[in-house]
Amino acid sequence: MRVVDAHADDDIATCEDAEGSRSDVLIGLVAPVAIGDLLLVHAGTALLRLHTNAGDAA
Amino acid sequence: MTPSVDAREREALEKIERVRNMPPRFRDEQITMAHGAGGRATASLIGGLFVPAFASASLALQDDAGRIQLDGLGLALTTDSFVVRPLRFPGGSIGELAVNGTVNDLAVAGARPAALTLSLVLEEGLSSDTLRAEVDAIARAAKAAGVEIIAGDTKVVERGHADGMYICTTGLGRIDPRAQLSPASIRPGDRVLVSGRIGDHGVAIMLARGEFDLDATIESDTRSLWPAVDALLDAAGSSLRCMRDATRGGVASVLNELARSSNVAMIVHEARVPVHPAVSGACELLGIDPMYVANEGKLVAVVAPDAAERALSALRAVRGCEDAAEIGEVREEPPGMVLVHTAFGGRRVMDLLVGDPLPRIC
Amino acid sequence: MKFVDEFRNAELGRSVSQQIGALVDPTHHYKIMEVCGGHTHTIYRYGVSDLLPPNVELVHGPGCPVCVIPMGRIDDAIAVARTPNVIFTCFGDMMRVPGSSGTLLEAKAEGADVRMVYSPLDALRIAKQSPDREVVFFAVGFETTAPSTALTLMRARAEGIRNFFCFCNHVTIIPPLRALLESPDLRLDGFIGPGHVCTIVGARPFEFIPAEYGKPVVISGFEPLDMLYSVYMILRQLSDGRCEVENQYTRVVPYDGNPQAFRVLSEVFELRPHFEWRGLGFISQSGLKLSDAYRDFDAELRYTVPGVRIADPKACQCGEVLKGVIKPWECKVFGTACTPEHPIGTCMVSAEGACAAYYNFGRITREREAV
Repeated sequence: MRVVDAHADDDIATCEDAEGSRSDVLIGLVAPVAIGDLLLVHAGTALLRLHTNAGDAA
Repeated sequence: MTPSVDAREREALEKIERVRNMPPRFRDEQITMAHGAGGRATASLIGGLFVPAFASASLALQDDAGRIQLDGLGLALTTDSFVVRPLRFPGGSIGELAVNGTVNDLAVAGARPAALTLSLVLEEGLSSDTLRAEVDAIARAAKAAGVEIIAGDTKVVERGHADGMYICTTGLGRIDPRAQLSPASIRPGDRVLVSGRIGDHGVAIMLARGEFDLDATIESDTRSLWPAVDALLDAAGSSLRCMRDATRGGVASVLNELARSSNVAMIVHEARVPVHPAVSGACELLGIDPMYVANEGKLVAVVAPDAAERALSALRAVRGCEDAAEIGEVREEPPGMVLVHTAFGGRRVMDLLVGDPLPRIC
Repeated sequence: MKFVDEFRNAELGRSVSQQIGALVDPTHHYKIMEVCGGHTHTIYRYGVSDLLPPNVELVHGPGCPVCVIPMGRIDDAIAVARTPNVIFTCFGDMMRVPGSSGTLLEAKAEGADVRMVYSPLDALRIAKQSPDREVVFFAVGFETTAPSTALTLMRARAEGIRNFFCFCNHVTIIPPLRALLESPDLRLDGFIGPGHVCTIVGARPFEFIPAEYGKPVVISGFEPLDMLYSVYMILRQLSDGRCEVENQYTRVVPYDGNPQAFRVLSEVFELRPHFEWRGLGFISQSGLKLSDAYRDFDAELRYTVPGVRIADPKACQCGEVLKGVIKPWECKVFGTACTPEHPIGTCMVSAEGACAAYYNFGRITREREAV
């Protein structure tokens, strides 16, 4: 899922999947994240950052 | 493998088969949500309690609507209760469901819907605005479906005894002379059609409940199926074998019922099943299969092979059925089962669910 | 995700399938265990077995976190769920797992407030929305899910939330594998390693399998092509006479895992001396409980539960099925006392457990072998 909203002081980011569904994701394992990062999400938690740039995940 | 082992395995498989084919028995100590989910538990309730108790030939067929001949006139009668939370959801509300659900049960039985009754169970404290909005929705849906509401009843229960409102509708329709529908007429080689993208309604409701923190734009597909049925009857006539309204339990449950009642195999080609990308995305995240998700305006039709192409193009010309597709065919072996040829090139069995589709974690 | 489509490509699948066919020794019957429940799901979802030669068999391992929870723990969960004023939250598939007298789904029918959640964070949200209720989260899962619970608890503590509790049943993957490998009657040729668990723990902890037990391990992704290719890599090792840990899932799995996750896990959890597994019995140091720092959130301290150990029914042979010693249909209760509607052991509980799968798929599998 791709990060669409994140705040530096928060351990939750809003993420969006390829179809546009959004949900809140815990990012404690991969913080800090930036908008556009692609995360591997399991049970509401980001396990891993797959890509750091927006636009290269296609 | 030694022959004796082989024989023992065959014996074990045959034992399963015997147990599987036993008439359903209702043995549970209490009613759970699974009995209402349209899967195995529902089948045990209907086949194990209702059908034997009422000993009705029409009921035993377990079609979407019952048929009766009155003075030479073929009529179809059906009834349905509607409980849904929340009352309003993207794409519709309980009022529209109450009309379309009953209309669709008539339509897939090959009956042109004529009249409905409406029973309301209202919870003390329900806001009049909510009620007014639902009455409007009912009126609108009835007009769109071309049915008249000719009788009704209202009960009010104490606060906490109903989830806002429950609606029960009963529908009467006249069996169309073009229709010669029966699961018994299904033959190997027949084609299986669906009238559009599947799973929209169920996913829209799951998301509207807000139980999952997931935000997607998916709308319920609630609509009358009579125009689709009308087009199919015109195009295929007596080559149209059978139709089902793919509500609770989704397309998977409908195909299982047909495979069992006609003692044939249903083969589904996964790659041909139309699913909205947002629905497949949400289903993948939640770990459920869209084939088991409820629809409120999608039918499954079995058509003789020579009429399949005609039927499909007629269906696609109907508003709301533009994405209709031929998703599979009927085979002889293995009887009573639904097999999916996956897009990856393998196969899997699509069985009846035990209860509601529950999201999986592992 | 477009990213994923190429890993579901049927043509690529066929090509790997042909390479596998060219590699196997037709006189040997290969048994490869996929450790993770997610892999089992992929195998069924996409029909991966159909793309393997008949003498390559995939055996489903102990990696379904839902199925391995023993009856006694389910009974405890139901007791907590029935406590007045409790909202009991759990993952959906947990609700149908049978305890000694019923499931959470049945407890719900009898009036317990049991709710399905998609993540521990959803449970915490319910706690915040219902400050006058006590919200308990039924935490299950391997190292993949444990960090999710840990981060949620850290957040609950940081926000000073007092009505949120965790019934912790997290387990670790290595001890049950070791227990399986220790058994003298084990008949497996290799292991498909759990990709998502490895994003947390890395591939290194699996090195003991080739080193001490001489079985190859390939860490695999979850798309059907990942799995097919992992089977190929295992067979390649066998035919080359190699035996090592290989990583098929390099696009995701770092060899040394995620150090941030180790810190989070060790802050919130500590190892239990023993934990019981359905079908496998007690395994040392295989379960997690909340650490002292988080004892205020521990549902096991907060509520009185029966805590009674319910023995697996004697006739149930899940352990042997898991080890690949017997086939599902050879179990005494298979298909009679133990069916998908009324499961007894772990292998029948989940629709993808070895027994449930065989119950449903047995006939077409045999058909394939006959061809």
